[in-house]
Amino acid sequence: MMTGADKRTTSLETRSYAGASESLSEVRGDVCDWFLRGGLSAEAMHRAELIVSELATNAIEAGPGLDFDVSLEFLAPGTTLLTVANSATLGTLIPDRTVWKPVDPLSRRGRGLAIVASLADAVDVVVNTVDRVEIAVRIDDPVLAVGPSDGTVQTFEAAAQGADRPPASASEGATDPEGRS
Amino acid sequence: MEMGTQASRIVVDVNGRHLGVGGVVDSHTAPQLQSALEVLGTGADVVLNLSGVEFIDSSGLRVVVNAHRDLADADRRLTIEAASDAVRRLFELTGLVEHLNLA
Repeated sequence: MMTGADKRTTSLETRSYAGASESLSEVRGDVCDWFLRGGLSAEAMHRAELIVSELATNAIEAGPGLDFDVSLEFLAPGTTLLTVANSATLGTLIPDRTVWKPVDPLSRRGRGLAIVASLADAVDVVVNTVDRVEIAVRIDDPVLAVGPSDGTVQTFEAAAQGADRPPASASEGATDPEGRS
Repeated sequence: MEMGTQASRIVVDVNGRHLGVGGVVDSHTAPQLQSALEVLGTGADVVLNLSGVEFIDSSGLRVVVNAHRDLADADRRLTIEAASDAVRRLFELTGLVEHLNLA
């Protein structure tokens, strides 16, 4: 898990939204605007748009009427950390990662977190209690990101360290937390 | 707290057993699509045109998949005659492209 001391923040933006589905359009619009202002690619922006829509929907369903926060940080050139946090829930917690992907493609529900895991370069359930649920997602821009050259996916810690290191060093010890190939 | 200035909007155009969908299909708007499909029922095949969908997430997928399953259970068919790039990308990402009836 990434701690505050690990972060190499060059920019931070946090906003709170009402816990209602009417907020979703504005959440997505704000995230897209942030990616555009950061000069990131349309590909990275579209991934972030879908990821935040899924996480914000989860936040609203877990705590209807309760505000939730969306934060965006630059960890390194082309590398963004997107965090969605509920200040409280009605007891709906994030399930274990083993059930994020529905067994049946035609399952009636349960695709949201699987979509997030598929689109993100790393996912971290930072806090998962009835008082707070916080999920952090790293999104690398394939055009701009300073990352490993062998296509592997870094951990959060590696990404944070990579902000101060050249690309070759950043790939050392990199692992694939998502089991993606 | 930021207050939403403009909620998501969806357009659902019903013509017989044919539904044309445009705009955004998220958890705010998906109930409108679900209602339109429920009105049509499962007594005959349904054709869904998603070419005008600008954004869709898992909430929208859930409505499409449930309609597909409900019609299949009634020995009927949901055909998706057109899908926008946003829809097609999500179908491919979730593996649904191999299980839905895409024209």
